[in-house]
Amino acid sequence: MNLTRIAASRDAVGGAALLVIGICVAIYALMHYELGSLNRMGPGMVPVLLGALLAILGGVLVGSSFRNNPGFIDFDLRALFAITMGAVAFALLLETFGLAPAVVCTSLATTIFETRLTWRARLCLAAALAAIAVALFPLALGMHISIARWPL
Amino acid sequence: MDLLANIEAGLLTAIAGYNLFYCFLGVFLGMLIGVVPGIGALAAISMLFPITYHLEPTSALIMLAGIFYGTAYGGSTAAILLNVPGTPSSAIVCLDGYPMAKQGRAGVALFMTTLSSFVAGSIGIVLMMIFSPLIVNAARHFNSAEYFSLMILGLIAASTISSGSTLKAISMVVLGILFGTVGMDMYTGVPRFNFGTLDLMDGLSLVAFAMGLFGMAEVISSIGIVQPGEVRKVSWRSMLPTRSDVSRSILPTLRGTAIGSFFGTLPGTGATIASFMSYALEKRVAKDPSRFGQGAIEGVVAPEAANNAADQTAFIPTMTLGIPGSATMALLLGVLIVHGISPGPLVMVQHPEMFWGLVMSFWIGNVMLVVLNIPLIGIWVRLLQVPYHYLYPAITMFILIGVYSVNRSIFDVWIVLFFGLTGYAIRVLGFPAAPLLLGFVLGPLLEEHFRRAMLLSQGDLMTFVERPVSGVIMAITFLILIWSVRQARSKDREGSLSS
Repeated sequence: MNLTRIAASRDAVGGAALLVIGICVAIYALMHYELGSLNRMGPGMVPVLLGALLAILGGVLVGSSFRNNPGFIDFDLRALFAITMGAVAFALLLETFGLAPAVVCTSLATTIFETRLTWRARLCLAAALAAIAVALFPLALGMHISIARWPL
Repeated sequence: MDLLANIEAGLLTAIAGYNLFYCFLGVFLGMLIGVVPGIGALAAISMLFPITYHLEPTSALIMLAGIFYGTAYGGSTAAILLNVPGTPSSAIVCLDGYPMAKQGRAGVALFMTTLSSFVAGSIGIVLMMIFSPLIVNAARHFNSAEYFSLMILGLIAASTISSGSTLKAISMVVLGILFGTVGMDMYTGVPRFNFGTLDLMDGLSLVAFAMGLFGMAEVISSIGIVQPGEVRKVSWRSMLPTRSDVSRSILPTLRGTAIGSFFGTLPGTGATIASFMSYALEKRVAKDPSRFGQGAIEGVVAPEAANNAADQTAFIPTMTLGIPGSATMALLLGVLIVHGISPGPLVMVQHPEMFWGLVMSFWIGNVMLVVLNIPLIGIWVRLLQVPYHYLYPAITMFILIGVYSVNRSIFDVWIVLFFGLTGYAIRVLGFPAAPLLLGFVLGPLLEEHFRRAMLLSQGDLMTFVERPVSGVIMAITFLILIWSVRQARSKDREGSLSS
């Protein structure tokens, strides 16, 4: 496994993210939606309250993170990239090229960094998954989706 | 007898052909998914959620519930044979189950866990049949203030009692509620946080949210980790327990059931904590605690009984009050909401055939599990040898197609990716994902009841404390919060002393 490591406090990073999200949500809701009164709340009241609460919780997390050792943040950049590419390929290809090409590309994209599989095994896996998907969704479950098409 | 009539009607619903089929499908898939490490009940239920749109709500509930309690059976198989828990609630079974397998007693361990799971599950179901009508009766006079307080209690309890930092869990609940506000405001019709797109008018899709958070994020974080080990063969003859195995298992099974039934009903605790507690109890009451960890049968059957009982009693607060104790239960409530049934005590009154049909399907499902689990062990053994690098592209594919198929919307595919990445970030940063889903599902209900309670009380926040039932619930919530803060303080002090 190849983990990427960053020397930073998980609580500080997470807390800061929540702080920013909370402030943005509260300000956006204040600007766009009516607050109303406690008696008759407008659409903005609950989001503003929650945004403020989230910002406070995030702030407390950041504050308390200074008392502990910062530690490390470990994540698997390759897995992140491979699965993201798989989903992007699926989203872009499905409605233009059909189910089978989308599944083949998704499978190839998700296994792109897979050292445990040979190229041949990857192609076989992609073909097998496409066959399963076609047999299951359009054929067995009757989903309305084209199996393969050429839009150009 | 009212109860008998209900049971009869429920049994008729449960054995109706299609419901029987979906019950079978549910428990079979549950077992399968429980065996495979790396996908839990939550991921499985969110992956199959799209199918339930085409089903009757009763069949949908029966199937998803079957997956839920089926995973508890399958999870122990992987724990015993591989030393890898198929589900978190089976983690503790590894401690004595795997040593038993190494001594060549895997068959006995599997047989006895199946048996104790069945006994515990059955007792859990009986408790549900007895207590649900009582709770519903009490809850009939609740109004919005009580519902709001109960949901707050559920959310706070779920955030504090489960492992990890309370602060992080509560912040995830709040974030989840915020995600729940996306879409049309139910009182004024104003679209919120839709940034001009029509795709967000109805809010974020629960399926995309749950599949991203649990399915996709789980795939990303397991790619490099899950490695299948060596699996032993299990023969029929090796399953026969000795007389001492049986007599040693009876009391631990009953104690495990008691612990599991109690913790199952509490919001936020559930099967995992119950299984750990019952293991600890068995170790304490044992005459010779040193046998634990060396393949003691008590250490296998008690936690399995606890997690199966907890899985059944977890349905009590979910079905009677509409308050899910765990993220999985929240998804089951999602099924009701999708079919236009609002969760709460009225479910049992207005849809008795659904409630009792579900309860009776538990019996049928548990019998099916016992009958299926033992003959299928050979297949599970083979399945455990499939390497994860063949599984994860398949899981990814099923997630993507599943999400797309709900609304036939590419937009939802982008949403699942967004929540997959969010879910992975949350894991990497050490935040719990389950409270996020709980907040998301309960958020809209919470806001609705909050605003209605405020309308009724003319903006007086004291209504939550002044109404007696609501006040008591709020007091309990407050006590739990205080307790968790003190707990965290003392942990902090220990931490600073040791460092």
